[in-house]
Amino acid sequence: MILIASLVVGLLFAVGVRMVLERELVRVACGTVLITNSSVLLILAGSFPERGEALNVHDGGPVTDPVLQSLALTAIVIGFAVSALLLTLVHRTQRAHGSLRTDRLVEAELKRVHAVEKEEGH
Amino acid sequence: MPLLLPILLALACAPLAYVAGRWRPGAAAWMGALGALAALGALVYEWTQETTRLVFPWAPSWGLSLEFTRDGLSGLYASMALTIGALVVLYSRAYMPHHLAEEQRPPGDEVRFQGLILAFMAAMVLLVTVDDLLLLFVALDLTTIISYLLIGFDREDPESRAAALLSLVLTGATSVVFFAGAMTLGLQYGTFSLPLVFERAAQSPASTGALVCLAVGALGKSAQVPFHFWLPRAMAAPTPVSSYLHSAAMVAAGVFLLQRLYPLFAPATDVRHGLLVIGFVSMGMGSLMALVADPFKRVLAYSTIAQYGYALVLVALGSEGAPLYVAAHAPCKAALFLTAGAVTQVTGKKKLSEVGGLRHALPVLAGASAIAAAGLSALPLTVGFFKDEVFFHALAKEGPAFMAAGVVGAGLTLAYTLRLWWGLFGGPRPSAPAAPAAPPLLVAPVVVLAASILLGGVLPGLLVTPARAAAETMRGEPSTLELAYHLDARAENLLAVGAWGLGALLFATRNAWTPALSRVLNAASHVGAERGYRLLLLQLDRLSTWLHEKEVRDLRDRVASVLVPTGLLGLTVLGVTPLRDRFTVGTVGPADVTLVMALAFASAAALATLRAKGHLRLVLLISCVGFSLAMVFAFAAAPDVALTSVLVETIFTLLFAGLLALLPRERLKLAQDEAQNPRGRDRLAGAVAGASAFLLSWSALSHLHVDRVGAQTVRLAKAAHSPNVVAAVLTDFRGLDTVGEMTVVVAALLGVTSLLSLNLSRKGKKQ
Repeated sequence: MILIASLVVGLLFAVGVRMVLERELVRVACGTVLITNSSVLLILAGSFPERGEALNVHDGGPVTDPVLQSLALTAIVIGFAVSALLLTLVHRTQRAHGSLRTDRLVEAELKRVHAVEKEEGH
Repeated sequence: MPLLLPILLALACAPLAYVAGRWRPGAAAWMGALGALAALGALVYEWTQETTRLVFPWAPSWGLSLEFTRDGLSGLYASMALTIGALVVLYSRAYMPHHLAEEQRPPGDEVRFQGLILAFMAAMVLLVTVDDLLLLFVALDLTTIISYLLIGFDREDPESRAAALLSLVLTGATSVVFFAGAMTLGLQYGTFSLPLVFERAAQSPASTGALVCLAVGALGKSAQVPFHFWLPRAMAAPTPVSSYLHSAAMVAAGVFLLQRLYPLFAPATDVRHGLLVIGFVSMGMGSLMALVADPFKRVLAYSTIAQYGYALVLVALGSEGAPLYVAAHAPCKAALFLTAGAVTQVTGKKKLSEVGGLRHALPVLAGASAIAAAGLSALPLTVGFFKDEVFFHALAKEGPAFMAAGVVGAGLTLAYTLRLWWGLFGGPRPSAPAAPAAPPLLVAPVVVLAASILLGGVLPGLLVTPARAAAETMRGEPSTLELAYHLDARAENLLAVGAWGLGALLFATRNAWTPALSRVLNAASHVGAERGYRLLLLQLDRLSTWLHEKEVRDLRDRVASVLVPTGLLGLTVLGVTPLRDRFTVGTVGPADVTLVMALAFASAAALATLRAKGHLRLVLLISCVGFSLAMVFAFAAAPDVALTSVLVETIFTLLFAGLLALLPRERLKLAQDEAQNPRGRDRLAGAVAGASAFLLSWSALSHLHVDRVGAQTVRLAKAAHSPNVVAAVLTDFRGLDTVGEMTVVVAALLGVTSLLSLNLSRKGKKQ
């Protein structure tokens, strides 16, 4: 069970990184969402070996670690807030630069840097 | 608490002066000088008290405490810093308005300048009063930082900025080396408290490496070879800075450190021999450069290097005159710097070749600076005479070679001092219209310093007590230092007469050798420490530019350059950590089947996102991953997490779909078509990062502690009156975390709304 859970954590992380390294901003945002998911899974996976029984709670029975549950909850909520901000940023970037591609953004940045350097030179 | 009174008063000076300056700019200097004098008064009062040490526990479990001392060294150096600080601040009242007008800056900046000078004074008082290796380093760095601000005070001037940066890099880097030495000693002796360190060092001497590190820090501060070149460059600073930092304060700090830590250096003869050589080299180099330099502040800067070379020689020889030497040199050098500033303000000139004959226009200044010059070159009836007396006394014990070096050094001192004074005030009356008289406040500090130089020279008995106290602190044994004039043929007197003769001869024949010497020194300046420093800086600059170009070429590489090394680091850590049973596979029972199925579903969805064509499909697959994980959480008997997950995932999917609706359709299609060409190295980066995440989490999950906090939490939740343990944890046990979480959510929401509304307003404008 441990091996399977950590395999899935690694897989989600790898796919997330692979998407973050793509050129298009929407997919970059999706990549970060996957990375968030993998970390939430890792937190809760700590409770897998000694977890309670789903939908069958009775007094004195085993309970899934509540501390890990609350940590996972916090992580989910924060992850959501940050992803929402990221999506809005994607939207803004598209408006400002008219492009969703990171290489275009780099070009724009370099152009601006050169323009500033030219101004300073004169 | 009486021990802290001078420090507290000195620390209060800068804020008080600032407040006074807000009321009326002219009041700041007077307020600061008053504060400095009050601190001086407190210092004198403190000497009538019994307390000599004060210890505040700071982190007792680590053996750290804040320790302050009242001893000969701290008294001597603190009174020097406070007196000259007060005079320099008053001088700056007369100097800065003119300087600021020349630099085209608002007159209000004067207050800022005086505040910095006073802050520097406080840092200096702190440095000499602390009795702890760590605090020594902290105070040392405080002086470095403030000196950076002071040297670069003319921030519009590139040369001044470069000089400030040079001094920051050099004195900062060497003080880091000092820190390394202090840490080594702290680890070796198990304490940072100086008296304890000295006590333990008496049994087992300090390691040579640590001592060399400490010495490097001191040499950098005192501008000794090979770290000397920051000092002449720092002359780009306004003159009050040079006259304070480069006579009585910053450069004195280095030699002070060596005197404070002398008990450690006493048994290490090798290190002291090294210091001796550096002292003599600095002496010779500084004196020779001072003989040919043209800008008069540079002459003084090279002279400072040479004079602190003398002080270094005295420390290296373990002479009890070392503290006296620094104290006697400081007023002379400060007065000469102040003179240089006054001459520049009155005539607007900065070079010896451009001025001359000023004794007619500035008679008082000429007289006062003549006394200071006499003090610097150790003529009788000035306090400077005794600095050379102790110097010759120490050399006479060592043998003829040392005596000869001393005579040459002192002769060179007389020669360049004469050249400086004569270049400023001597010579024919200038044909140009007479320079206007200097403002009284510009001359008064020089006169006060000259009077003190004379007083010390005529009544040397006044100096004996503080000099002996300082020598006692330095060497840890009673001092028998005597200061008096002896009219007999003892070695010190003969050496002094020889030096004066040599100096006079050199000055009289200066036209014969000056051109040749300056040619030689010019040629020599092409090799040496300064050139090495420049080359190093150039290469580092190139390296940084190269890296930057590589990095910005593609944003993806920028991300990968963080992720891949981190992943490799994680793998390396796993590889080198010796852990038994590092990985456990775990068991899969019938109850786990549902969980595994949900996990498999999540993985499949995640893999499918890589091949997703079209954005809508991508979003659906991402939410599929999220919902599968919610299912995992539900099967793992974590209903709260599962419910939240479902909620969040639903909203997120809607939000994502909304974003897709906002983005122009053709742009999306374009982006989609262009994005489908993953590079090989992206795959590799993903694999490395994923493998690292996999192995790290596997290792972490294999070593779960048997005692879980969760079990206790379940018990405690009853006391919190919450049937839902998770709710109890969130709202009660880890309430602060939840507050932090809410802050993040609110901040993110504010960001989202402001970004969206910004967009709307711009759109409105366009329409």
